[in-house]
Amino acid sequence: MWEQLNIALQQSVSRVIAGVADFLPGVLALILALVVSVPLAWIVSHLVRRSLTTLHFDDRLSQWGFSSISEWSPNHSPTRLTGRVVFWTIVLLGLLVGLTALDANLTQGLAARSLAYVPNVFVAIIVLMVGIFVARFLARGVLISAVNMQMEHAQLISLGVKWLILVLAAAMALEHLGIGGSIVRLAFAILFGGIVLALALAVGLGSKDVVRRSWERREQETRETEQPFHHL
Amino acid sequence: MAANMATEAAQPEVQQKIDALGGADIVIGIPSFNNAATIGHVVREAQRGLRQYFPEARSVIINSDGGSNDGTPAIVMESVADESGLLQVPHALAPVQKLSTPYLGIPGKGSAIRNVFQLARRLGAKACAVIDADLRSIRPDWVRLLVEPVLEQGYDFVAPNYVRHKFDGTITNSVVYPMSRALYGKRIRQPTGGEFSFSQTMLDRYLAQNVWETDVARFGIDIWLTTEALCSGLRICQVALGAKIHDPKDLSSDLSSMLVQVLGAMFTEMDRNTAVWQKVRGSTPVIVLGGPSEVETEPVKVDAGKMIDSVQLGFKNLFGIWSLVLPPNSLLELRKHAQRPPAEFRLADELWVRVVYDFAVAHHFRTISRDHLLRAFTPLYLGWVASFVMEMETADAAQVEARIETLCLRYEEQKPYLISRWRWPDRF
Repeated sequence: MWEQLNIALQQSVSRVIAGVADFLPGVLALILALVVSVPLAWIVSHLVRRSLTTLHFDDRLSQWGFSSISEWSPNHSPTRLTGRVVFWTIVLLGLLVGLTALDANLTQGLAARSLAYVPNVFVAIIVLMVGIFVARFLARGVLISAVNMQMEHAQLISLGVKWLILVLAAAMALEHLGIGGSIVRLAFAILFGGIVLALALAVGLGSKDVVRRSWERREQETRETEQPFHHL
Repeated sequence: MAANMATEAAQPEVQQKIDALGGADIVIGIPSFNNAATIGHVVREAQRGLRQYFPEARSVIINSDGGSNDGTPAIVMESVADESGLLQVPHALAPVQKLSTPYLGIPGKGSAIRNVFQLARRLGAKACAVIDADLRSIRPDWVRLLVEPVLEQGYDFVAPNYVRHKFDGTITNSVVYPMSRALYGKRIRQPTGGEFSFSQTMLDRYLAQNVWETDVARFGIDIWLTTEALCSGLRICQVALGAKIHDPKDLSSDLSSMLVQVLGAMFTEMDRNTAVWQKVRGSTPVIVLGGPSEVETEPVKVDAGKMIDSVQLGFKNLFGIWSLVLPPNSLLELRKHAQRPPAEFRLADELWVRVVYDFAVAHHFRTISRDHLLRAFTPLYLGWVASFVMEMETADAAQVEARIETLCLRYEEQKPYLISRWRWPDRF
């Protein structure tokens, strides 16, 4: 019996050792991949940052109307943001190489799902960029028109328009990415619905007298201040 | 028989009618769109003028209508005494022209004028005059004043010179007149007058240009006609027509839209004629034919307070936009002006001229959307108007004209600043 116990123990130890021996190279490969990819990522991102700085990338983005990217970037620098994206992309690739060495099937499935997801990411980025551009354009137009109509709260109205469009664009982007799902849709519907309902109640019920007096006052001011000369 | 046209100027039927007319010496073009209230008077006065002053000449009145739905073409037909001397053609309106309010006069005036010019050329007309259909102050001798310089004195372009109230035409007085004078070197007092006349040579030049499908022709045809004449090197003159009174409904346009259309056309013309205006220095007077007429104008009380409020509101809210267009020293000076008590608000000429030039440069380089740019100019323009009316409140017409002359000289003096900013925008 002791012999059988001994044999069983020896067999299990050798299975474990064999398993570790099978597994260890993959782990070492993973560690090696990370050890190589991290410094490589740092070098490449450094080179990218230097190139973009030479090209005055931050200034050019501002001139092209994408200054909001600066607002969201670390240290308000799109160059730095790009550098970090490059860094983490290379690290991620190194991780994938390491994981492939560990388990080829794992990464195969992961790669397939990632590739299928890329168009959604691309469309979401486009939607966000278009949303940012439209929000800035319309906010500026609303601001100028409100000032020309001599509205005191022109900045507030403009900001409201800008954020409404940005929220809409963000919700559409999240929809494309499949993040949040029904929670995002519900939150968006509640937000917009709430705003519309609040406005309807304010104008329809709560402030009808105030609005009426405001309109009458505005009409009277328009009549009084209509200039008695022609501009052209 | 009336030579009614059912198709545009290019159609074969039109050519047949032209053949039946057998040519013309004088063409009077009247663009129209829903002008039933006034066009009858315009047509009758134009006909009287032709019969009275040019009885021996072959004359044709061309009415180009943009699809009126108030019976304008029928009223034109009823108003003419001799239908054989009438051509009626339609002109197409672009959808945007139906939606937007023109700064002055007739929607689709550019298309209408193109029709008139093409027909006048086909008729071999020696003189072609254009008159707005919404005029209430037209007299028969306007026809003589407009046509005679072309027909008998060899001028190629005749611009109107109206008698106006001292505070009328503030856009013309603050920007259009002084700037066109500084740019092109000729002193046309009312470049956007609306009533012009042309020689055959001038017509050929206009028709050879490639602007008829652009916004300049849609919304800024008057400025374009004048600018093109100024750049042509041909003989130009002005005629004193007295007072100009329009149908009131056409003068209720939104101010910022008016600025977009007028200044947009003017600044776009600067892009087209850069090689011309950058070489010009100073300006020369343009002869005014016909005697000055005295017109009674009632004193008006202008409220400058609201206009100053507009500047202050603009400064509070549009500073970010203005800082994209104006250099720091101009912004600082504007801030100082905006902080003064309303009674002391006076916009210095040098500052005003630099602001206008900076906006022209920003329009050229599309610093921001051109529509936004010119709408953002509105509070600054109202600031100038407020400053002007407060300064000139008790002045008479001669003093106001002298004041505008001073402003014009500032525009001419600051022209090197405009040229520098145009050529080297990054230096500022």
